[in-house]
Amino acid sequence: MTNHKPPAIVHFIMSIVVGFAIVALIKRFALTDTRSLSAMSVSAAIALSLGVVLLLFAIMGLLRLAAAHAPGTALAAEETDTNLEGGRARLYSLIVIAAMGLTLILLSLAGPGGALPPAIALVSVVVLLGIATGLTFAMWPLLDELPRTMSRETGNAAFYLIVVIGGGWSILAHLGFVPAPAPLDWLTMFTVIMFGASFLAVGRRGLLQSR
Amino acid sequence: MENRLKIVREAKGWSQGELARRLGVSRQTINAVETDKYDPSLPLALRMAKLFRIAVPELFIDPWEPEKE
Repeated sequence: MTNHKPPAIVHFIMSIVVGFAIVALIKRFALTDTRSLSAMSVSAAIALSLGVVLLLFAIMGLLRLAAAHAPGTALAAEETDTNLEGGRARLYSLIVIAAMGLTLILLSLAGPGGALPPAIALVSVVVLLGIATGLTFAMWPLLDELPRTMSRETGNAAFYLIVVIGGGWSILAHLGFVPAPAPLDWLTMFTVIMFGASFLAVGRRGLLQSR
Repeated sequence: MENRLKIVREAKGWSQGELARRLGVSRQTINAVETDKYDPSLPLALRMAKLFRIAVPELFIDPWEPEKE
């Protein structure tokens, strides 16, 4: 059976489109009567959109993982092998992505004048980040040298991207050319850069097709 | 780095999965090495050479030559 698997970048782009569409629809129709949401800042709206994108990406990944474990799956044999082989590590990484997405969603809904009380948001975010940290540590022994190398390359690339993008923004803000980044902008930036760096590390080796 | 992993693996009649199992790595890693997308660590290169009973330079081809003195 011939089955061409779309690369991960296609899923990510689909998640971005659907995620932003969902947030736009929520703001336009369902929640326009909620004052705090309709008055959401640009920073919060971007964080909310990215959070929804990450959540969708994680859900799509979990569905593919579940399909690989289901009998009579329609996935390509190679993809099924890959999913089964790194099943637990992949599951953990998708949960980490979902936790990061939920964190951004909760934070975007909290803050001054937000729909969510800050104390509830803080407790939820601490729990989510605790889960993400624990799973990241649990995932490391399950990885062999290729994903560990790519993880280190991601960290390196992310550091330089943060220096360039975050540093550049700070310089321009300090000089008065642009508004300073809000705290939520930094969190969004860290998340975007981590994922961007991850795609760079994987793509640079031409491995986006096989992931 | 160019390598002959696929050739020696197929000569043994092993699949990528079988070789991965014998080396204790993922099939993805074997595939990445064979397609020249990833250079393995020295310990893994040594394990591969030991498994196939050949020297590392027979498995991984480096065109570099030292300067003649």
